[in-house]
Amino acid sequence: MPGDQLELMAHLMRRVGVGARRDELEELAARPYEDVVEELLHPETFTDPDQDVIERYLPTATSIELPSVPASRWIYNMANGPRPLREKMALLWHQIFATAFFKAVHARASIAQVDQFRENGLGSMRQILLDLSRDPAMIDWLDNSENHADSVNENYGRELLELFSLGIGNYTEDDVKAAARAFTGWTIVPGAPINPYEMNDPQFRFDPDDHDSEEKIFLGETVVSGEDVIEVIIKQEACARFIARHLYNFFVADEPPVPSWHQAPPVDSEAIDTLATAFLESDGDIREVMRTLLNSDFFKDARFQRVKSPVEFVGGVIKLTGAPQFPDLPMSELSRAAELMGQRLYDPPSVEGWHTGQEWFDSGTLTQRVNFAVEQVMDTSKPGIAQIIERVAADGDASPEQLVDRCLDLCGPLAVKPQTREELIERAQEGGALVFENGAGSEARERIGRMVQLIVAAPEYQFA
Amino acid sequence: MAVETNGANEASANGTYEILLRAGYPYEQTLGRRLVTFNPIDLAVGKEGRIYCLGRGPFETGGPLRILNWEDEDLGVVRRRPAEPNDRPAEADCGWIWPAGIVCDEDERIIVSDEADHTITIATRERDEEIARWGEHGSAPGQLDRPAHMAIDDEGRLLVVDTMNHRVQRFTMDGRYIDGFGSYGSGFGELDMPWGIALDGDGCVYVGDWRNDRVQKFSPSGEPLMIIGSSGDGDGELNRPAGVAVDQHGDIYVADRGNNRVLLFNREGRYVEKFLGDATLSPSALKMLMEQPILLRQRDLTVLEEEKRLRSPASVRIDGDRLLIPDFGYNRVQVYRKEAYPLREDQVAPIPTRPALR
Repeated sequence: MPGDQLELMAHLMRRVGVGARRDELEELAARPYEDVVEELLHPETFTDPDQDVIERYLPTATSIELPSVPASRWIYNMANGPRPLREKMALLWHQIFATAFFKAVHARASIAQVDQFRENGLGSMRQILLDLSRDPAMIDWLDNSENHADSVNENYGRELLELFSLGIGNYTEDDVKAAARAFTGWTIVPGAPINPYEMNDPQFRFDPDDHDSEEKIFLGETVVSGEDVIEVIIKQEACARFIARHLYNFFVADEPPVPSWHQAPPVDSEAIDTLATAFLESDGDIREVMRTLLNSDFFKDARFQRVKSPVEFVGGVIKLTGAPQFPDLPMSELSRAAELMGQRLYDPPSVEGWHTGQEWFDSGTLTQRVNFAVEQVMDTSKPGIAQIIERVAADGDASPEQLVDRCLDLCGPLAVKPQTREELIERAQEGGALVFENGAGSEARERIGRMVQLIVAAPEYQFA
Repeated sequence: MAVETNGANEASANGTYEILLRAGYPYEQTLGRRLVTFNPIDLAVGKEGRIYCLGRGPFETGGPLRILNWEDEDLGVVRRRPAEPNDRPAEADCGWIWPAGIVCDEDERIIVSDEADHTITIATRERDEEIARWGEHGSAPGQLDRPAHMAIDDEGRLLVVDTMNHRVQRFTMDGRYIDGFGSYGSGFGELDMPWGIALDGDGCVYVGDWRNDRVQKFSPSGEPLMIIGSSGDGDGELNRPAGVAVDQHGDIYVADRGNNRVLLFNREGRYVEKFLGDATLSPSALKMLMEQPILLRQRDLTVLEEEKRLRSPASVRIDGDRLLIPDFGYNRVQVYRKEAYPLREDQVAPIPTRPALR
């Protein structure tokens, strides 16, 4: 099969998930690209195996103080589940509709919100915004439970427009006020509090007595309800462009930080136009927009143009190692690993979400990344690493250059700069040629393992 | 109201009855609360009303092995490792990693299985650390792979559910392997990631066949005798059953974890009734709440129906006529008390030859 088809498939799987094993890639690369994309766009046709086993050993019910268990399970499913795009879409919406656990400290509400993203993440933008507006965690997070007919709280109305759908510059203060009034009475019925036993699920409740049912002018149209506001938003070109840019930033290439979008032009305006058109023509069907995105040349050509988020990085490493495959202690520590790299799932730092791209890096988080990756691949008994070693070994003796190239190929394939390749070759040359005969196989395998460690520590491994 | 039972409400010598007059199974009380009985995954009743409640926290923190009594008083914790100066009593990490099951022997020694390190630990309430630990990870006879619930037979030997080896193994208390039975599969007598275990008065073994959604009854020597339950959420159906218990009448209780309930089957495996949960405030919960004005107000504003119910129960235990359910997801124990009257054969009409409407 053409090498480029395999590299393209590796690129696709890094973006819609966290990567794929070599045997998976070879299987996928034998199929038409568009067919694979279509399958990925329909996660509902797959079921998650072994969720009951995960629930047995890492039960959600223990997530009282912090939803770390579901966070670890999320990363695990991103790497090992049959529906990677579903998990990544949930991560995207979690990033855009950033709702932090620290305010409500209500694990069940936080978990339920992300479950909702998981279920409707490829659905219509209309439904996504409706569900979001009725989500108890969001209502609590942005104080819409304090948004009353006779005492308007603008928090949710403002962020809905600024951060969730249109972006700065595409609405007025009067629009914010109108939107806030339209969402009055959208509140929650809290569940029983955490003490003395455990928290219960809060529920959305619309209180007609607390709703401002007068007509308002929103973006030039007459509206009454929150539903009306969302209907107007969906039709806006600004919404199409705003969501298009988020999708581009998350799946194609790093954009400048979101707060600067009203000033900084998109990296690829043509791509944003294409995605925005798909959005408008499909009435905000996210699956359709994603179909356009994943089949586009700008997507196919954007290899290694994004910094992996900590969650993607951790997921990618465990995908490479093939471990853990069974719920065990290391699996429960995945969320902690991502947290040390700067991304605590269910707990974004603010309503703006995490700043992405190069902002993921500082000396501390980069060190954490490298240490985590090297530590994980160091155990050459892990199935993914053992498979790499055996495949390199199967090709027989190798020069230092061949050793480096084979390992780079099997660790991605990973494209590295010439300087990085030279440095890897220099390290490989310290051991001379890779020889398996005359009892040298064991040492050769150790050298392959060490080369894999060097590769995951390379700067290029930080990119998807 | 006094009931004439012809003296038949006492257990017979061999512990078997043909028929019970089931008067009811009322909820009796709730024990524990959050941060005291933290995610209880199993429990054992010791002497003098001591209840050992085994917590299973997230990650590797284990949880407290808390001792309560029927008055819901906190009698302290049992540890696998010595206490540390910064141990917080309420959330004591007692040193287990993924504790799964607990039993007490006749001397009230406490035996705990740990699924993370594949070991069995023996401890006592008097001592601040374990007195013995054994178990080797593997699949050979005598080795363990994720040991779950346990039971002690009438010769004082320990039966351990060896989950990932899909079998039950019998050991001496000091860890010497005796025998075992079970293999992977879904056929009669085969097991798939079993969890719970219980013995009846005849020494027969009941195993919570977790991933097959059933309980299987085996002879004392491990011959398969009966399948109880099937997949689903209807009456008599199970969704990933965990713990299992058998009472003096041969009634079989199953922690139907995935359906958030406990099911009761009679000794022939016929479904009788279910327990969905009826919790009230335990004494310790009541005391805590009375000191928390904000919580009192919050509770006054919320719907409390859901709070009564069981959430992911992993175990069910019998103490005399009491049924104890460690209510994993709600950090407490719910207790019911059985009222049933064994009947002599001559008190009951013969089995009808055909079903009739009256």
